[in-house]
Amino acid sequence: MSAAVFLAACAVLLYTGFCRLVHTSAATALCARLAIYLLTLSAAGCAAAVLVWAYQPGWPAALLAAAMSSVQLASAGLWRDGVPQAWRTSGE
Amino acid sequence: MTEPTIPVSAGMIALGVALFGTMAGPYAVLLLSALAGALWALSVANTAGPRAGALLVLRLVLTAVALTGGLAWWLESSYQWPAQHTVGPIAFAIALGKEGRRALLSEVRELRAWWRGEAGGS
Repeated sequence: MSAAVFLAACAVLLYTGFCRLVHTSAATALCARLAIYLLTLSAAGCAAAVLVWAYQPGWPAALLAAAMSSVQLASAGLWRDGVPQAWRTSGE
Repeated sequence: MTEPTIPVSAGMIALGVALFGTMAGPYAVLLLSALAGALWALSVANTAGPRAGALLVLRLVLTAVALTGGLAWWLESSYQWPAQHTVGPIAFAIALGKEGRRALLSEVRELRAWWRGEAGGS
C-alpha cells in the first residue's frame, strides 16, 4: 500500500514538475529552475526505482512524497500566468 | 468465493517489476540520463505549451536512445572506456540538445564567476 501511495505521489510530482518546466525558460531564475528540475527528475528516478529495481518504499517515504505533492498542488495556482513574477529575471 | 488477499496495487507493481525489471535494468540508466538531459533542455526552452514540451522531451530522449549505444560502443572499442559507465553521461549530453548545452555551459560560467567574485570580495 505504501508503494502505491509513493508511486502516485511520484506521478503527481512528475506531472506538476513537467508542467512548471514547460513555463520556465533561460530567463527564469536559475535557483528556481534547478529546484523544479531536480524535483521532477527525482520523482522519475524514484518511480523507476520502484518499478525497475524493486525498491520498496516504507510509509515515511510515501508520506513525505505525498506531502511534497500536496505542496505542488497547492502552489499550482501561482503558475496560472506562467512563471511567478519573483522568479522572472529581466529577460522575461 | 474468497476475496483476493493481494491488493490490486501491489499486484500491479509486482507485474511492472516482472515485466520491466529484468529487461529494463540496464536501459533504465540510459533512459533516466536521457530524461535528465531532456528535462534541462525543456527548462531553458520557450515552449508553446505542454504538448510542445512533451514533444520536445520525446524527441530528445529518442535521439539519445538512438545514438548512445553506438557512441558507447565506439568509445569502448577505441579507448577501452567501459560502456556501462559511459552510457549515462553520453545519453545526458545528447539529450541536452544544442540549446540545453549552451545554457548549461553559460550557467556553469556564471556560477564560477559568482564563486570567484564571492571568494575575491571576502
